[in-house]
Amino acid sequence: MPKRTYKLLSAVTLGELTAKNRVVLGPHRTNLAHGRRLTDDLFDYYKSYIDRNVGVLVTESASVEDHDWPYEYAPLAESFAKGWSRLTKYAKESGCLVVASLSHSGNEGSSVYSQRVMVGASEVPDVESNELPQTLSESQIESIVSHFCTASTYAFDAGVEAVEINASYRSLLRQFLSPINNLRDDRFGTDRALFLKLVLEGIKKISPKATVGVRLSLDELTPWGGIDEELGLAYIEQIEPYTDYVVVTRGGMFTRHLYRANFRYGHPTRRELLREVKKRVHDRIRVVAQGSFFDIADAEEVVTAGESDLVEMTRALIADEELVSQLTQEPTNTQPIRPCLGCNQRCNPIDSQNIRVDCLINPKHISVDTLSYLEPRLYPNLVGVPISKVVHIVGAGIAGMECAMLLGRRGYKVHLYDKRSILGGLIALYGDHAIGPRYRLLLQFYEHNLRATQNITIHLNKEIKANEDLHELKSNDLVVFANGADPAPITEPIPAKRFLTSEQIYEDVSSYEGKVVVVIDPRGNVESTTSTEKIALHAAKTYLVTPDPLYASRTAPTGDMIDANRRARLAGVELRTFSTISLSESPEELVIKRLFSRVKERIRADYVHKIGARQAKHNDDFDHLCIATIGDARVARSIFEAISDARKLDLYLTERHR
Amino acid sequence: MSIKYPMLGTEIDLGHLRLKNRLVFSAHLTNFAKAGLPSRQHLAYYQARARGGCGLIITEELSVHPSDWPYEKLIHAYNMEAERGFKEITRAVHSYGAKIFAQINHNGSQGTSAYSQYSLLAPSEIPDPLFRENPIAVSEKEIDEIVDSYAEVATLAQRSGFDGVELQCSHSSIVRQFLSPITNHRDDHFGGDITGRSKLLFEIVQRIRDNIEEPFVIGVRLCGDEMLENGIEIQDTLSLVRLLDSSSLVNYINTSIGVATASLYAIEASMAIRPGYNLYIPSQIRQETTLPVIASGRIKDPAQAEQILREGQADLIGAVRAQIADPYFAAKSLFDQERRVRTCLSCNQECVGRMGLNRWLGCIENPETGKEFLNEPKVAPLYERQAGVYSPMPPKAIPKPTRKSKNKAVIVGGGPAGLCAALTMSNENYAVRVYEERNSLGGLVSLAARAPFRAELAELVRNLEYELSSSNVLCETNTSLSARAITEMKPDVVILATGSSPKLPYYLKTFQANPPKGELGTADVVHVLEGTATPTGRVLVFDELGFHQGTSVSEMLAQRGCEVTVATPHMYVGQDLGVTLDLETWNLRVSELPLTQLPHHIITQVQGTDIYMLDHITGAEKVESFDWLVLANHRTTRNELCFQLAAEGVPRRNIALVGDVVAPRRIHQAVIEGYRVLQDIIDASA
Repeated sequence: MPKRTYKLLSAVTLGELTAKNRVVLGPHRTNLAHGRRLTDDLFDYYKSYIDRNVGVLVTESASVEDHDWPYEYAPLAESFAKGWSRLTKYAKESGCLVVASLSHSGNEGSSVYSQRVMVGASEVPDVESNELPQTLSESQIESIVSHFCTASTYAFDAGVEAVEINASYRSLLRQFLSPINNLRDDRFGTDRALFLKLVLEGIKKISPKATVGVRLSLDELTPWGGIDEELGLAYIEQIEPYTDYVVVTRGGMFTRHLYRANFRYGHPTRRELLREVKKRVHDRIRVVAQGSFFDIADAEEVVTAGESDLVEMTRALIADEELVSQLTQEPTNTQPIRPCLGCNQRCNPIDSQNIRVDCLINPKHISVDTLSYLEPRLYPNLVGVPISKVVHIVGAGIAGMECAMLLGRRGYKVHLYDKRSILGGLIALYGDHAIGPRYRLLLQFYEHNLRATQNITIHLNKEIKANEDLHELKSNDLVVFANGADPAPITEPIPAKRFLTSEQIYEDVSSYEGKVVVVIDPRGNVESTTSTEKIALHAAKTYLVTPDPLYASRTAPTGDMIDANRRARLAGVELRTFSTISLSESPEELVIKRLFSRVKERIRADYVHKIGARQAKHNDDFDHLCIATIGDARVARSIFEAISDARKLDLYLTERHR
Repeated sequence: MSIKYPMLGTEIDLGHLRLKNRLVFSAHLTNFAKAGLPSRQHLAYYQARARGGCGLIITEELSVHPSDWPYEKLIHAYNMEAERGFKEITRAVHSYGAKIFAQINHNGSQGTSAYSQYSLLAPSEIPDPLFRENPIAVSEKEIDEIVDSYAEVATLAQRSGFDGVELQCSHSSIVRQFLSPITNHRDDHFGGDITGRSKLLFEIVQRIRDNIEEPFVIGVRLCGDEMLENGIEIQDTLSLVRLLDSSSLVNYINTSIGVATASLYAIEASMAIRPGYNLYIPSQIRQETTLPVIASGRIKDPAQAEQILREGQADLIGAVRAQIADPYFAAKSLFDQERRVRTCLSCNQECVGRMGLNRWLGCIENPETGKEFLNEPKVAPLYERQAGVYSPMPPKAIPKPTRKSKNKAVIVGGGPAGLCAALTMSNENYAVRVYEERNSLGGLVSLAARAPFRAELAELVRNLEYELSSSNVLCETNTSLSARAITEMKPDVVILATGSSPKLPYYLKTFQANPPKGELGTADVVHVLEGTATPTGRVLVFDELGFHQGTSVSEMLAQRGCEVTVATPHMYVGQDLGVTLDLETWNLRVSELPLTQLPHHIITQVQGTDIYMLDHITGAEKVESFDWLVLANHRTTRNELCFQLAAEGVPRRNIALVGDVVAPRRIHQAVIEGYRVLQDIIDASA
């Protein structure tokens, strides 16, 4: 097979600099910048991309002044300067271009950490914090302009040769550009781009040779006002003289979830828009496409078509750090890319809990250190027992497949069993229905990997009940239980025969077709929305009963919460929030009780489904020496923990055999 | 010693240990930990309360095991590095004659694997209603390890100078999860009846006793009532108390109500719940045991504390929020300075309510709370010197109160921002005058306190007024000043605390507080609270704020017999009430009133008495006729005076803005801006 050449891998100039390839890791919140500076953890995180051939690395947006403190571990330019120096020194060798992203969040940040009033263009509250900003005076604006200049000086002095000014996601500069936020009648209102222009002009004055990029929202996607494409394009023309590249983004205060959109929004980066941008700007100006570029093919296409010069693939890189390095491998050595699902479940840690950036399908923070402590707890049956290099994995769900793939690569002889006729376990069940098309790519990824590895044997339609069912089991062979969870015992006062399991919902639609189904939802997560929507598609009537004050309350970081509410209501789901279920005297009836009130509603219901009601498999009576249990079979959780468990086992065994 | 509160000031023995009085600063989260270790912030925080005179401090929970990491800033006490920090804390607290216990805990299923990357442990595989993560049912081997870890941390505590340990069996604890029939479904000998369910508790206490050197105090904090269906009720707790009493293993019993992750509103009750709401727990427990019993929960007043002791409802008083608001609560109460206590409002806006948001503990009234480590108090207050028995520190110099002031500060506006600024400037020896246009001080806070169940907000104003009464500040009400009048006074500094005014939304041309018959009355919530508008009949309250403004006024109008609809663009009504733990109780109260909730709606236009609304989730439009429209919307700053002063030639650097005139926000921002106004003036002119 001839090695394919990618335009994406060709060099490109950015101002007077050259990027070795056209794949960009965009600025994103990591929650690793403790003390508002580059920590060792954050350095290691960026290093993993520098080492793997990423062309341009834009560091996490740094506040230009300390009154702007949007989240606890948000970088601050002054404190981060040493970090930039460390990164640029390290990146020099591999030729990765490090760009410093500079930002001021205005009233899209927080007043909690700085204990200072947030500032804004006008007296417009943010939709999220619902907090009013102080309207900036002209002299205050000038002082923020000088903060931007000082911050770029920190970056340039640290050896960074390019800065990127954030006028998009959570940005004061975008608030000035937006007719929604900027209601001023002074010169910063009549010329909304003035603030941004002053910032760019100031920086160019300090360092005329430096590369200056702008991350610009070209469309706030708010038809009732805000920046639209026409206005966005006009802004590009205005800032052109002061800039070397433009990152074309979308989204505003009301549409932050569309900046790095959930998979449900398809491909929000419109190629027509990119073409239009290209038309308006001088050839010298580089255009960076941003949005939901999850696949190399997509990115290569826009670059080849000349619609953009570079492509930001942040989430794709979070899902698989090897995204770029795989392309440079000889075809015989390449492995399929772990596909970003666009789920936004773990890579968008926007709440105040400071959870580190992570990936649902690529858990990043598993270390051997924690393992040495936790070993006897995770694998009580393996302590001090010799283990052969033959492994039998029972269950080919995500946990089982990940485990088979990892151990297969390490040269284990792997037998992977599943009672069903297909690989994928619970996800295959969900993926076939409502969760979204990209889940199939993950299944394909595993299937491809498993089938391509010689020493993995897959046994489908094979239920494992005893030792004899396993292929030539020897006493020191490792048996890994990854056979998922069972339906949980019912704790609600409702007869068992009226409960629907997850399997029934997806595989036996006729059992509840045309019936009245009540969904009890103590979770409010992605599983809740998926199952509820599936049920509503077939049931005559669906009630959703949750103790929360709103439906799908835990899906906010995925960007789907409001839309999930919309879909449920349009599908006719009867939402009963702040509510719980109890039994009535009549067997056909259920009582929905509103919490914190005496209000009760009696409804006739045929079936009840409880979200998340799954319980670990108990394989205790299986008679074998070396047993490990991973994924839902250990305790029912998400894909993330299924993969984590498999990786922990892989690390553990590697340590053992060392 | 106190004449008014003799019991509160009486010594008491816990085991071998004698406490100098009955006031306890009980365990509560602070989010002060750095990298899992106790910090300088902890040290200064506890030291301030010891200096303030309380008899006993119980630290926030110290986690005993690495499988337990429910929130980011937890103290990992199993990490031996913690010892150094603990030693500093115990030494500092002891230097004031106070005693200190370590609360030790494992949160079990009330946590997350997100920090530890390790699955949760619990008695049974039942997820917590808040954290929603399925835990692993612990094996007996794991139970044994957990019991060991409690004993290890208890010995570490003893080595670090703690006078005792308290075992949390209440808010968020694996021990409570074993005790509660809701979370313990085990069929081995750690489940079943109360003897089985309490087996873990007794094993832990026994193993601690086996490992520490006697004498050492061990206490338990029990949840008297989980407030949950099929959960622990007082009778279960009384059975447990009898078992504890006869075991002779523990030295005292601390009490609580509710569960941190399901019924938090009961634990840290807001001002909407009457004081003494949970005293049935300690008082019944006290009937069953000879051990000393601690009462706690919204005890914010020394008279109330004294009464609890006198009536025999408890032996000690846990007063947490009272001492968060005023570290000198104990000394002031015990030395007849109780009028100077900065009373807690039970507003929950900056303290316990937001612990779940991973923010450090603060106080709406006291900007120094949690920041004690930044500045040691400059001046030892009088009550501290009087409380010299508590304080071995040499008395500090007290400045003469009549030192002649040179600089003049004029403050326009007597709301919380203006009053706090007045105190700050007065403390820095400015001659301060406050001018307020209304007939009383307190601004919007005094008005907000008129709403049902919000009265205690007014204590903020009372506290400030009392402090001002002993300062050189002159306050003039009913006085509205022009820029010219201000400049004629030749002040060195003008502080504008002129606040904000209601803002008309685009769909209204004017407020109509006295509508002609048949027309729509329109008002801001402030108009309703001050009584300049009196809605009747069918009222639409439109709430853009999602905090107490809209919900309080809705409740007030519904109580008056109006037929109220509360509409909001948010996904539910009162979306920020959860932070102050008022969402549940407000819903409970209004469920009995003529009040309808209409979430995710916006007003598109108003025509006559018809109000057009859009459901922004589904796009459905509706129109309804009302008698009144009351708005709880964002306000607009009143900063005209700032420009007028500039026009009079007052240099901008001599003008400072504090509170709503900067941007209309909440009380906390007003207080903090008033508190640091001088620093901000200095910074701005630098």
